[in-house]
Amino acid sequence: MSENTCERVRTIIARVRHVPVESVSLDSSLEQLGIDSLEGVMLVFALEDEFHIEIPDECLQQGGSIRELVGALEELIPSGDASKIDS
Amino acid sequence: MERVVVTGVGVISALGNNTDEFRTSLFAGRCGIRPLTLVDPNLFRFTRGAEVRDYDVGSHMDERTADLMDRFAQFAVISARAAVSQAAIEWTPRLRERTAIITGSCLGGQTSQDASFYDLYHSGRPNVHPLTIPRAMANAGASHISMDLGITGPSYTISTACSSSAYAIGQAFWMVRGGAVDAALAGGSEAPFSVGVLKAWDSLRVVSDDTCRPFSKNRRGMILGEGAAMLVIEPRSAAVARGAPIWAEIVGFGMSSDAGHLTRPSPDGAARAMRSALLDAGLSPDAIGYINAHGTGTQANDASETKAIHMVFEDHARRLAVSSTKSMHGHALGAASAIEAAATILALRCGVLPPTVNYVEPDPDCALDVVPNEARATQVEYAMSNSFAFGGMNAVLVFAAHPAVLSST
Repeated sequence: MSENTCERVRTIIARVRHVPVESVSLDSSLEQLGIDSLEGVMLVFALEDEFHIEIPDECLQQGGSIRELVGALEELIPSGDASKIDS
Repeated sequence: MERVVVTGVGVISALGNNTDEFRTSLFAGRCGIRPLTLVDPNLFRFTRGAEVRDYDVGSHMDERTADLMDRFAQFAVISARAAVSQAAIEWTPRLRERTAIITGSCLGGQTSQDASFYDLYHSGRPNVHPLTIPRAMANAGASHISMDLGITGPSYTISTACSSSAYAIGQAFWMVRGGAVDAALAGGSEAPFSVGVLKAWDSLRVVSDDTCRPFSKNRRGMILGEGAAMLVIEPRSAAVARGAPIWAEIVGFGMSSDAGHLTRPSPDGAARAMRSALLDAGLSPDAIGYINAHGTGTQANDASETKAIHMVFEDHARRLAVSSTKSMHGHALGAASAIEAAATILALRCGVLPPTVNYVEPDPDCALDVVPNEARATQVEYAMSNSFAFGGMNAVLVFAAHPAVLSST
């Protein structure tokens, strides 16, 4: 799992929630971060925009941790693009 | 039936960001129409608007809350808070359940929608922002007011173009008068300054390339404005028992439809709405001392409205004072009637009639005393506020000065 992707996801979550990035732990679930259904779709929108991908609905299961979310996103990012993004 | 009074008035407009500034500017005859800053002024046949200036949403709400709202809904919440604060309402769970929120808006959050659709159609983005719908829905103002103030009674939004908020206030008045609710928060809000919306208005060829000069022979059209006004409306008995400030009494409300042309005003329709409001108030025409006119500053409206006033008031039309405060705060569309109701209430409360500014030359087709350019110290007992919308939807409110104001003059 790329550290760069983790940081970008944490930054986007912080922006959607209007909270400091330090408060977004990779071990937290979206639910624990207080992300409701409306903020969930805002997060999907922001992540799709950031990584130029299409995210299926099941990617944002409320129970999963941010670490798991990052893992799922990395599977969606084309491998060639991932190395480009992380460079 | 209950007698119904206004105990709080919250205003944000081109004439200032709170009710005190609004009153001061209104009576000083200050014109809030200035060069456009919210959009590129070179894109339209007109270059001026009545924008809310020095607007700092951060001084009213946190960034996260503000982000959920279009500017029109922010204005709604800000003015509602101000009105409720003035009324010093003592909230109980029962009162929260028995209070209505009725807002008017013509466009809702079309400014947010315009920005999202620009991204989609012009910038090639594959998706639109998920808050586009919640920001754009016309009832967002009422929804955010209810959430912000914890009011759990009936809440809805009326959209009848430029008379939207007169309908909202009228419905609230009737609900309180009939005992359906114990209080109401009613008014309207609008924020039309986006390129798409202004281009649409430009195409109608009704916006002035100069300024807004209602009833003046050289008038060249309306000037768009933005803002909000909300009123706290409650039974007189409750206000007196609480020792709440009574700004004015609402005594009549009337509506009519032109059933004629989509955009051309009808003197008959306007006259029927005024007569209906007088009937509801139980007043004869000669009781009215001041009319806050719809007075858009278009050739068609001002001549038609003058004709309607002469039809209803006959000889008394020449003794009436009639002014259009749109000459100062612009035409705020769905918020216009509420801002003008606030101006009418202030006229009754302060014993000052606000002027029609930018007035240059009398028009034989507008033979009325339009209180030209300078406010006039005159205490009237009853005042009317006219609103006549595109689509031929007319609404008229009648207000009375509080007896304490009259006895002190």
